[in-house]
Formats: sequence, C-alpha cells, structure tokens
Amino acid sequence: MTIHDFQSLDGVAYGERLERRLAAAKRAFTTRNVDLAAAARLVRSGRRPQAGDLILARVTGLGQHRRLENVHGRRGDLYEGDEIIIAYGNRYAPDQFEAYVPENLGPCHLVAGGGVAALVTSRHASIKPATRIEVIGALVRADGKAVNLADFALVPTQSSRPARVIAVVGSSMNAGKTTTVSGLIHGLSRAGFSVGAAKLTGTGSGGDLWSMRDAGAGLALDFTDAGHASTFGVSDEGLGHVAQLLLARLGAAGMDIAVVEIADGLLQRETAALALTGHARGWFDGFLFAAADAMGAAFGCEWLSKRGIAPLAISGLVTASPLAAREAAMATGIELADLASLRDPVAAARIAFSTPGMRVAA
Amino acid sequence: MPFLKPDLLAPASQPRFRPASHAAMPDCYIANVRPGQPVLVAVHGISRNAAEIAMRFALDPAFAGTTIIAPLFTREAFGQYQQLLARKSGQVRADDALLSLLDDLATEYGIAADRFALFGFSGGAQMAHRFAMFHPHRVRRLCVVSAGWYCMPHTDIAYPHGIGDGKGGAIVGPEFLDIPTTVIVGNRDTRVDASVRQDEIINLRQGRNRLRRARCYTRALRSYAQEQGKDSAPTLLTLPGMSHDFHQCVTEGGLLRIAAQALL
Repeated sequence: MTIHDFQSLDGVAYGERLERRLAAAKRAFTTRNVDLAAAARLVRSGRRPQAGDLILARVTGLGQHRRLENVHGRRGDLYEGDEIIIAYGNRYAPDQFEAYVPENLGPCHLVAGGGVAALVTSRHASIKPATRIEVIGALVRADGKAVNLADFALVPTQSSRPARVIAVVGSSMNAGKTTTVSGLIHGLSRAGFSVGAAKLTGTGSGGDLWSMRDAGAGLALDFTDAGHASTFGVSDEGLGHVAQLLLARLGAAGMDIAVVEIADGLLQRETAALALTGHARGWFDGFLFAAADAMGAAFGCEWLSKRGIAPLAISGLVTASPLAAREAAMATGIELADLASLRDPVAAARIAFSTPGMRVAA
Repeated sequence: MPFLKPDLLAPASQPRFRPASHAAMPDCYIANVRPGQPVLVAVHGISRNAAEIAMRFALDPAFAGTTIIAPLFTREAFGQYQQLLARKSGQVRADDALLSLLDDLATEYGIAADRFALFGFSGGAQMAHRFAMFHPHRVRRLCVVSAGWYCMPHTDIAYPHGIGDGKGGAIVGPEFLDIPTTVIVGNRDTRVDASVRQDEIINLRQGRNRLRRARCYTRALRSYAQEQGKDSAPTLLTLPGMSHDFHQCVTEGGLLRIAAQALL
C-alpha cells in the first residue's frame, strides 16, 4: 500500500487505516516478536526515541543496506519510497557503522539489514554511506506509550540453565565466531546432545540464528528475544538480564548444552563486560576464542588469561592457515580447533567438556 | 545483580573430559568423582558418544552417589574394542586399557575401582559382556543394552563369536555367570542395516536382528549356567517401542531408571 492508497481510505476508521498501512509495510526481522495490534497511532514529533522503539519509516535514499531482512528471514530488496517497520538501536560494527539512537524523530539511517534505525557517526572506509530513511511516525499505544521491543521480550523463567554452557568470544567482528558456534553446535548435536544456541550481544539480524538452527540447534535465541534491537550501550545489568533470560529459556526447553556467542571483539565494552560477568558468576563453563589471525589469538588469550580465563581452544579464521595456526599454537600453548574438528562429534565433545587449563604462554 | 539466580549455575555433577595419562589407556569422561562410593563404567557404541553417556548418567538423580567413568575407545588406539581385539601393532586390547585407566583413576582420585558396575550400549554392550567374561572378579553387576551380537557361551565356537579356545575347551572360566546380569533391548530394535553384522555364524546361532540375538544370548546363558551347576540367570528386559537409539531409550524408554535397578 502506498501513501496515496492510505490517504484515499476515506471513511475508514483511523485504527483500521493504520492497521492496513502497517500490514503493507516491509517489516524487519528485529520486530518479529511484536504484536503490531498494540500500535494505536503514529506520532510524528515531540518525542525522544529510545532504543527498541518501533517506527514506520520511508526509504529516501539507498546506500549500504539495499535489502531488509523480513520476519521470516528473507532479505528482500528495498526501493526508494518503501515503507518499513524497524526499531531504533545503537550500532557498533568496526567493519561497517558506528551509529546511535537519535534525539528526535528526524531523518536517520538504516544501519543494519535486520532493521535498525540510528544516526551514523562514523563508518568503515570501504563501506557505502548508510541507506537514508525518514520517520513517518513512531508506533504508539493507546495510552501514548511507545511500542517497544522490550514489551514483547520473552518472559523470565525459573528454569535452570543447560548443564553445559560454552561461550564463544573473538578478536573482532568477522573473526569466525558464528562459524565456530555453528560448527560446535553441529558437532555436539551429532554427539547425541540437544544443543541450544544464543547470540547474547550484537546487532539484530537473523543470519546468525538461521545458521545456528541449520547447524542443528534445537532452539536458537538472541537478544532481540530479550527485547533489544542491539546491545551496544546496554548496561551491564541489562546484558546480564539478557544472558540469564536466554540461558534459562534454553534450559526450560530441555537443551543439554548451550553454545552462546558474544559478538565483536574483546576490546568492545559490552563484549568484555558480559564475558567477565558470565565467567565470574558461573554462567559459562568454558570459552572458545575465535581469532582472525595469530597475533589476535595471542593477544586475546593473554587478555583472557590476565582475567582468569583460559580458553578451551582457539578457533576462527586463524585455523584456516596452517602457518598462522602454528604461530598461534606456539604463542599461546592452547589447542586450535578448526572447523572440521568442531563439526566432528568426538572432537567437539572433547573440546566442550575439557577443563580449561592456564596454559597461556607468557 | 538482583536478578542473579543460583539455579543458573552449572550442576555440580556435570562430566568432564579427562585425557589419558599414557597411550595404553583411553581418554575418558568422569563425573561425581568421590572416594569410597560405588563406581559405574559406561561404555559407548561405535558412534563413540562417551560424553553423552557420561552426561546422562551423571545428571540422573539415581546415580548421584555413583562415580561415573565413560572411557573413549578410538579405533586407532584400541582396534576392535567391542571384541577386545587389537588388530594392529601398537594397538592395546580394550580390556587391558580399561584396567589401566581404572588403576590410574584409583591412584589419582582414590576411587574404589577394584569392583564396579559395568554398562554398555550397542558396541559398548559387546565390549562390556566380553570384559565381564575375562575379568569377572572386577564386575559387580552388568547391564548390556542393544548389543549388535554376543559372545555366545558355547565352547564349540571360537572367540569372539563364542567362548571356545579352538580345542574344545573354554577360553574363560564360568565365573562370569555369577555376575548379576541384565540384558536390555528395544522391542523395535529389529532393523537390519549395515551396522548389524550378518556373518553366517552369528545369524545361525543368534538370529538376524538385535532383539532376536538378545533373546538367544540370555537363553544360552541360562543353559550354560545349568550345565555349570549354577542357579544364576540373566534378566532380559525389552523396552516397548524403542529402537536402536541411546537418546530415545533414555528419554522415552526410561533406560536409566531400569539401569539403576540393574546396577545399583
């Protein structure tokens, strides 16, 4: 439905017109848990957006993101003039954008293909300018409160977490964390376990969840299920809530083992905070460290070691190169697990149930 | 953090991987390791799901007071572990390897591994019942589940198909008959696929599928016990609706509850 169609619905009640307009818009993955019937009207100004607030926006100029992942995971083409339903959220992506929730409902950017709106403040040199959007209106309930992802988060459960939880952290974005997670899920599934998966931090996108499910995860959840479009800027307490909520949910679903991914690199604030809190609180039984190269592996393992964490193994892109893998092994003294090992049921179980030893070289 | 929930912490009884101290023993998964309590050795099948077996037992409340040991027998190091046969130079017989492992664990943890309960599933059941034949004084109770085929208590058939020594005698003594033994198999474990050996000598004495073979084995054990003047008799249990799937037998067939009755 175009804006013209919308305006031509003379005599149709506002609520029904809004419902039809929202139904016709391209709805992003990040909003998949939201019941749009909660939206009573659109607010066009006079309100400061919060992370997680839903908006109806119009694409005004195509840039880096020319596709939008819909609620079913299909990445559909975008066209200028398209109306889209997305959520505000900050973005921290060294390979793409740094972006923040704006202070008003003015024009901003589509900063993630999963459907995140923010204002870009910096971008990687090889990345195109962000796709531009204008906000048609924020979705608001009858009581004037914004429709926010947090309102549709999973309800906390008192279930125990899965008996074994392996956290995957990495040296940077695109170091091979998701490949590590998928490989380990596959190997452990073949080893006879019910494996659950969760992406605890990052920016809302279905790609990682789909790959977790494809690998054999019985249930895969992410922070959007906990009510966040992204976790950049979320407080330590908020991150802890996400982790505990998702782990308890995986436990309630009967998963034997959980493989969880913490996005970006260890130098990213939220990544470091959650890794250390999870370790200190006993939420994670072991860590895999995905490194892009040998130097990253050495630094990352030393970083973890100084904080009392010894990874079970090093994985990621570094394992694709025998020479780099050899360097990493010599520098750290820690076993390297390539993709074939992670996918192998015997090797995957051995890695997952190993006892971390403080074997990091000085 | 106000939302911290104690029940989100790891269960104390989860297993952990223990690498072998030397090449003549297998790696293993261990759980609930405490001196002075009963020991259960649980042996995997050819999928080598030792970790899964260890976890299922370790997290089952019935085995909370039992030290769980699940050895991991690789083909490279231990050959045909099911039949206790080392085929190549450098390989170690699985029974010798298991005994080395138990000695090592006893030294390290002070566990009482001189006598233990022995469980095996599929290929592990083959290994377990043969181990009991050769080392009856070490096995307190025996539970074999869904073995592909058995070492029949027939002296006219040579090992590993029977207990014959090839000269008309027995390769093992009759003491294994004194071990309380439970044989379990799913009543749907009748599919004959590539993993079910179809040697003529097996089919002739034991039948073609695992259900039939379990029945033949327990019947033969009873007969052999009578021949030996023993009143021992193995128990045969079938799991309704269960096929050849450890996970299914545990989650749907109540295998661990039955195994607890048989082993503890």
